[in-house]
Amino acid sequence: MKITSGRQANSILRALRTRAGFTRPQLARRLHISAETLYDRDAGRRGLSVDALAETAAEFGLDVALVPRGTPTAGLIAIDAQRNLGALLRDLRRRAGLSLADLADRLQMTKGGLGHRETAAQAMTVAVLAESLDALGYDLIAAPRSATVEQEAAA
Amino acid sequence: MTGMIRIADPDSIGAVIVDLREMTQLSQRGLVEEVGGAFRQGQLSLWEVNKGLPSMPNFVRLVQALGYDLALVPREDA
Repeated sequence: MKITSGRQANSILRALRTRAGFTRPQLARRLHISAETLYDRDAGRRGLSVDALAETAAEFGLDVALVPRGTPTAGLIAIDAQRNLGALLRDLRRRAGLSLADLADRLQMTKGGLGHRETAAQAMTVAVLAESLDALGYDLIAAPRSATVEQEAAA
Repeated sequence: MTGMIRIADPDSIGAVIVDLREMTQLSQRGLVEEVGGAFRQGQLSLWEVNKGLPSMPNFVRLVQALGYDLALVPREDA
């Protein structure tokens, strides 16, 4: 998963913690930091250092890495006329550990405006889709059809 | 250095920054310009010799200016 901002790094680590079933005190003990520090990190009130990111990611079996820009790190996702783009956006946002307010803030949209797009109450322009995907660490690309089929087959 | 670069040890970050910067033929000043002056050349020169680490926002900016994305990937031994 790509990290596109300092704030998103905090959100991703919080999502990894909850997905792994760790309470804050449990993870804080493993990282030799106070539960308050972890609470502030989870809430985005305290920035992460690069080594704190590496140490925390290691608890979830992950390494920090640099990947050439545009490399899909979570598989290609086919978008066709039938695809519910709002639901896709919502799923990717949740997977990234971002709240509606987090993503709306980064897109300089209102929470309500983004919510309407996620529920398909309001049509999504290509520009909004591309900007939202970019904020979530994805590129909107046109790939040969066989590429997405191969990705789905391998999943 | 064209594929994924695993940061196994934060102490390797300085050398990675130098390698990528030289590969993209950017001077320290050029890289600072690429990130719109988000950090100073003096800070960059310290990070390159492992005297301190960039903050997360600056690390993301720096990595992206060098043509890479920062990512979390499954450990090889996991």
